[in-house]
Amino acid sequence: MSLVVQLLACAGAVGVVAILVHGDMTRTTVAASTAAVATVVVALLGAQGLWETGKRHVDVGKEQRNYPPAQLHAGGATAIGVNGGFVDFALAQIRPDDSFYILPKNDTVQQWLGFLALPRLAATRREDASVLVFYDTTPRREGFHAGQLTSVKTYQPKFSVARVAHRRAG
Amino acid sequence: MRTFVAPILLAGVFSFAGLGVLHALRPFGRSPLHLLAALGLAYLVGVSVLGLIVIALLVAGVTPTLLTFTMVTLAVGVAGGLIGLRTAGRHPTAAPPPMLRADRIAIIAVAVLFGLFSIAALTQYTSAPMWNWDSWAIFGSKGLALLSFGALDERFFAGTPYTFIHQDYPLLIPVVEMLHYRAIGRADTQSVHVQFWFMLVAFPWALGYLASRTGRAIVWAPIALGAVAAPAIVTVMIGGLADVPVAIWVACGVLAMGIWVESGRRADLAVATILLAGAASIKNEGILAAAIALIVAAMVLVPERPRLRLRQLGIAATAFIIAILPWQVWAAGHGVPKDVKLGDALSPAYMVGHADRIPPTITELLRQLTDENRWSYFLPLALVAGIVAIVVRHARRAAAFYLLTAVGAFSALVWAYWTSPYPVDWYLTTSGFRVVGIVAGVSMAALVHLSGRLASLGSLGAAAPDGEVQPAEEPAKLQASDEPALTRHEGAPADLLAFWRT
Repeated sequence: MSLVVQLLACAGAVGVVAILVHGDMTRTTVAASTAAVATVVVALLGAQGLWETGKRHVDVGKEQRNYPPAQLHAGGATAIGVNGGFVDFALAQIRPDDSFYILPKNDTVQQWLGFLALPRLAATRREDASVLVFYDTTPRREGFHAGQLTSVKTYQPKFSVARVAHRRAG
Repeated sequence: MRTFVAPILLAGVFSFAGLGVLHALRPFGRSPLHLLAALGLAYLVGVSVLGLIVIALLVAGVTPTLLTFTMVTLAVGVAGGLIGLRTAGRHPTAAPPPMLRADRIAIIAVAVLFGLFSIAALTQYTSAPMWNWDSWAIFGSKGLALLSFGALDERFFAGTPYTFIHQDYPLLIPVVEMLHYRAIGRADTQSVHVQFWFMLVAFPWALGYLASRTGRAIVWAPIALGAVAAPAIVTVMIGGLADVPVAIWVACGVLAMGIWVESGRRADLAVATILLAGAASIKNEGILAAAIALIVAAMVLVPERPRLRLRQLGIAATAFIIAILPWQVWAAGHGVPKDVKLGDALSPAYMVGHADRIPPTITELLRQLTDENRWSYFLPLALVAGIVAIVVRHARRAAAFYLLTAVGAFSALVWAYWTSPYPVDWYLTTSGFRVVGIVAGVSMAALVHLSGRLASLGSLGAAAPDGEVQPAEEPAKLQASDEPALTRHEGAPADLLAFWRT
């Protein structure tokens, strides 16, 4: 419906301009009025938009230049509701030749950690991983028992990273 | 220091290659001002050509180091320059159209206004964190992976844990990001946004250069400014998504194609093909838009059966397919999952079974396109300009091309949502506002082109490409000075446009 209204408004504006400026609605006056309406409407909206957007760019740019490096990670994690502190902690435990797997399956964490961990890659199956990342769970809850994992490092309760005993990397 | 200088050098490299290509297609004159005028288009052409070559190299297993990239750039730029020098005597050089004082004032005003804006915006583009979800999850991840692995590592680009990166998306934006990282010597996900700033700056520049042959600057310059200033372009670009770049490439590619449809000059078709191949290498919507533009161009030419032009279009379509083929072959060969399953999407039974997805899709996509706070009335104005052009019988073939391309692009989007496996409401909410950019891009191209042509019919006589300003009642026609026999008839396809003649 809004497209019909906008089309009628644009066509009406062309007609009004043709009559007011040229005094009639001939082939040439309608053509010229169409060009004039398009140019004026788009240019005015554009100029207004540029001014507002330009001011915003300057303000936000000033603010962003002062972000400490830690806030860059934290901001991205916060935006998607991920425990950014733990993800950074987990990244520090994953070696260049490791492959990691997140338990339980969590697409959002998988994406954020997968992005930040590059070039370290995620494993397709947990059996293939050298490092397991326990996000909002515990190794025991995921069915692991002592001896299956080595060097379990806990960031906070229910957030830990562990190496798989039989696939020690490096 | 390197973070400051290297992106400028990279943009210069893209522009150098693009100028070489443009010079080979239609030699420039000796005016430095003309080279400057062509710089925006040259940048977009350079990104397309070099990006496509780098993608082909990656598929072939070649790591695109800075040395490799420099050699490719030199090869493209120098070869283009030499071809241009050799053909300069045989073909008329591309000369800037003459301008009246009002036109110069319009260009200077738009350049100053947009220049000031660009400088102000640069502060954010150099420091923006990569926080937009799709930006880091899709394009940022791929750019970093290309930098890290130096190759298309199938554990990432086709691996199950990484399906979230939309593995089937083409690679032009990640390639540009990877080149940025290589140029500055580190993976800096903040400064990489500068590459999007260059694209933003090149957009109105390229639109204006292409449109300069269609009418007077006093008409096209403000519209080119309005196009880049549309909130959905200028406020979204900083996010580092591919939706705005694909709209930019579609707009410029479709404009070049529209000019070719009207003028028949081969150089325009070549530029259109390069830009549309670039669009098709940015996002899958770009493939749809490019294919539709090529098909519609044939449709509006077929009724007059100009065999030479249809043959040229066939060659262009073949070149387009060859250009985008490497990545598509690699993706198919490695079982990369697609967002749209063609088997379902073309199955009548599946389509009928999911027909209830059509009404909400049409409603939402139209709502997005007619949101004046995003697209500044480009769609309704372009539709009115197209209809008026057909009714007053001026630039009808170009008008038919734009109208049918816009309808085709919109229909293709509806088809994509209709046959997608994702829940339609969720899918529309999360992507509808972005994907309509290809239809908006077609609208922008239509408005820039047709407004100039319509104005030439009225009191604003158009500056013709070869020098003279046409009298008001004798509309300027784009001259195909190198293929004069192709451009004499301007009629629109009779069966398609009969309605408007009644």
